[in-house]
Amino acid sequence: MIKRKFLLCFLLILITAFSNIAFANAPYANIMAFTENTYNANGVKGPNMSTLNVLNIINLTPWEIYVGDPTQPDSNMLPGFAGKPLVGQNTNPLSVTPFPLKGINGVNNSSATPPTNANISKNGFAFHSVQIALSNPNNVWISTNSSNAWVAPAINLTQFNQPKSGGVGGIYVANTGYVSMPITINTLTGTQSSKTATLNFMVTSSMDFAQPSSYSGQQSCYEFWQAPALGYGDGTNNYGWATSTTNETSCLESKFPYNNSWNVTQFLTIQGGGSSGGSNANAWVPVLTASGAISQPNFLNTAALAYPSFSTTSGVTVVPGINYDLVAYLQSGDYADYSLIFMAVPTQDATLAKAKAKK
Amino acid sequence: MYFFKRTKTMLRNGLPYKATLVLALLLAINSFSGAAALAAAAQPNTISAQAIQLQTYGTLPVMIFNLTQSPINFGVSSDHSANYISGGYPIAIGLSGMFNPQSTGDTIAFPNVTTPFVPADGVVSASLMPAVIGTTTAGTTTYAANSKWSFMNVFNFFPSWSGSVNYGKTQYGAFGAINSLGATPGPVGPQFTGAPNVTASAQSMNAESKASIWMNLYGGTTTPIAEYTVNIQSLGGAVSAYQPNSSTQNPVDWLGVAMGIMGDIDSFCNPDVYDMAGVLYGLYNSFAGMFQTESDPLTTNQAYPAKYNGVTVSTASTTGTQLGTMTLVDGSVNYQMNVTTATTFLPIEQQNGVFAMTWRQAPQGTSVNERNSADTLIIVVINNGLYSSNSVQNVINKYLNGNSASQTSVAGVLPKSTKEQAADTFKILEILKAIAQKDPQDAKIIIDTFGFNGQYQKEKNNPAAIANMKASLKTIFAKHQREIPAIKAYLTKLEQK
Repeated sequence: MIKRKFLLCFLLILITAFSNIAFANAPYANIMAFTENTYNANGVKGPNMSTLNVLNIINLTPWEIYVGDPTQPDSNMLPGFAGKPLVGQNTNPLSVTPFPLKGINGVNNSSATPPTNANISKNGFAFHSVQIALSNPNNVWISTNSSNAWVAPAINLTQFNQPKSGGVGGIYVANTGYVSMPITINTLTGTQSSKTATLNFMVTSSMDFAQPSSYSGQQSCYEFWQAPALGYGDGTNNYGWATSTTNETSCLESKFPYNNSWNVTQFLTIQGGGSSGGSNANAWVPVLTASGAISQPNFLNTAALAYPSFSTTSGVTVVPGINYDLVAYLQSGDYADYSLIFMAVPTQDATLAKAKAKK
Repeated sequence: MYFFKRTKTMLRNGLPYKATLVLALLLAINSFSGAAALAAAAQPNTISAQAIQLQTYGTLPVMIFNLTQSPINFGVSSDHSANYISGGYPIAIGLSGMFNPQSTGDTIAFPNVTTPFVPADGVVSASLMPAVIGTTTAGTTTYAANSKWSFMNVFNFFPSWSGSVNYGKTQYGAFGAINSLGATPGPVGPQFTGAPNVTASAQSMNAESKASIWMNLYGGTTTPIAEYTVNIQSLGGAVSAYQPNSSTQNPVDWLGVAMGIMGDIDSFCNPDVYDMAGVLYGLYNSFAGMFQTESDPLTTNQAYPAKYNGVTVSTASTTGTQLGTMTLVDGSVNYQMNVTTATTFLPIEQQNGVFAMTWRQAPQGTSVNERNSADTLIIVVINNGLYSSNSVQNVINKYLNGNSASQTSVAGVLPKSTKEQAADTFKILEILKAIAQKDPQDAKIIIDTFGFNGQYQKEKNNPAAIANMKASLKTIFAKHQREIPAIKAYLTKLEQK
């Protein structure tokens, strides 16, 4: 029924920015970023980034959230992906630097137990969400080389072939990775502990990996292959997406800037994260629609990870005596915003669909 | 801590301040003549828009409050519920759980936040219990604040899905291995262990759709006595529209109405947040924060680009045993107030208003990390009788000699009620309902004067108007003191101050 096709893929390196360590197979879930009825530069109808260009991060939980790496407060977390001012708003800065998001009652974090009236904030709800303006996301997103150095896509062959210190054979090297943005729940400072949960938010694409050409006579050229983006993984079984496109060879000057002419499909991914002595990266569980499975998801643009009974882990709950799951819900809205929504949902197996792997 | 806030603008209904003051004086003179005169009918405020315009598309956080005397069940629905059902994806997720539409198109009524596994029947347990709970003993009903704070909820609504689309040319398969940074570079993997071509599906918002938050009011049985509906219109992928913005209107008065009631509940209960759902008390604090911090208004009259999605909010009419309707009395692109109107005297518990507002915080300009927040839709169902009682309590307890608000701060705010003063709100509600049974016209005078868009709401900073309102109230109380003994204590206060 379904043709099986071998696809030679390139090394996909999962990295987490800064102080977090990626567990290679920590659970993950993703969505395809798209606006329907749009065409790519090749005139092919297919997934293409929404021109609405807004990512909402919304916290509807009692747990406070820190977005970014607290040790890098001035770092731009989403280079190439975010930073354009919202239309009609005088919003600065142009970069996205780390920030906290309070819970819906503005109190409770892992370092303040039990909460007291003194720290119940009137403005607890005032800053529970943000809208991040996105740059032109149809370009291939900035990634790194094997030395974890930031690189931008080369715009011509000369740049491409320039040796780079610390790199291998040019600016754009074979082994690149996706930069991630850590999001830690139940802390206002970003400090992980046994009471926190962490996600790594990544923007991946089905293009942007290169390797030396395997064609004879073109050894100095690089080929850009479609690369799989993360799909769903439960910690044991790992799946991914790719979009079908022909491979491109970059030997010709006219191929630059390559990112404007090729079929790029973008994905937004959340993956469990954590550091030693900190959050448990493997506690997360992918959540799909009721009839879906990680091996066969139903929809590309809605996905979630759940941290079961996080109220027990965190020591913070909504109603005493009731357990709550932490749900991180990722949505690509077609003609609407992209949203990453954090919610507290009463723990009840019947209502929270758990992902099941179908072999 | 929580006070009535001085109105931000001195332009009421487009009139400059002085003209407004003169108008109030005329009304006051009329009320001195003989027995209590009929209070002027509530005049609608400016309505500059028929629907609220959201700036957050595709997902909508909702905070919902029940400031009435009646249990309310609420749920959500969509005119494209079939898509949610066939796709198996949720339409709402929050503190009550995760919800999908049923075959009827509606979700079940959301369980109460404090009892998320108990079905809401509108009698024993409801999605939103009343803010004040009545207890009837030997035919006498007394009211007290809802000390469990079980009259609110928060959830995320996904109102805009209208179908699905398919994409070919996608491959989905298992990874052989995933390497972490630090592995030896090279074309090692991951490799698909066979990547099948699939036709992937995605949810679509291309078509226009209407989703609703329905609220059923109950009166002691499982049959609703009224229904209020908030509609959210998603414009789809090819519609361009906008509503002109009015920057002179703001919802602070209506927020103050709700804050007055919740402030008295707070004073009455003096809650220990360790013994209750602290999150719910936190929602109240959040509401207070919104009251004291202006929302970022929609300041750009920018049409939605043709391919963008837009959302509007409106409140539909109510139905019920008395066949009342909802009338928009105040509205802008940021908020709406709809009140129940009827040709006959509705029971006080059915005299409700539905206040809907979007709130978003603009950067305060104090740090580089500040950004606009996403919209939050706030819905508050407010009982006019309860609000009137709260207003009367303030007039009796806080407007002392000279008819000016006692201890008014420089900002023009009233002091927070003490526990005893807050208790008066609930006792006055009992009195008001007793008067309504004996003389509906007198009850109407009180509600028209001290309720929605009444003289008190418009003229609470006008000492002369306050003096006339007190005189009118004293007349009615004196008339009913023999048959309603509880009136005596308040009549004494009115006569002393």
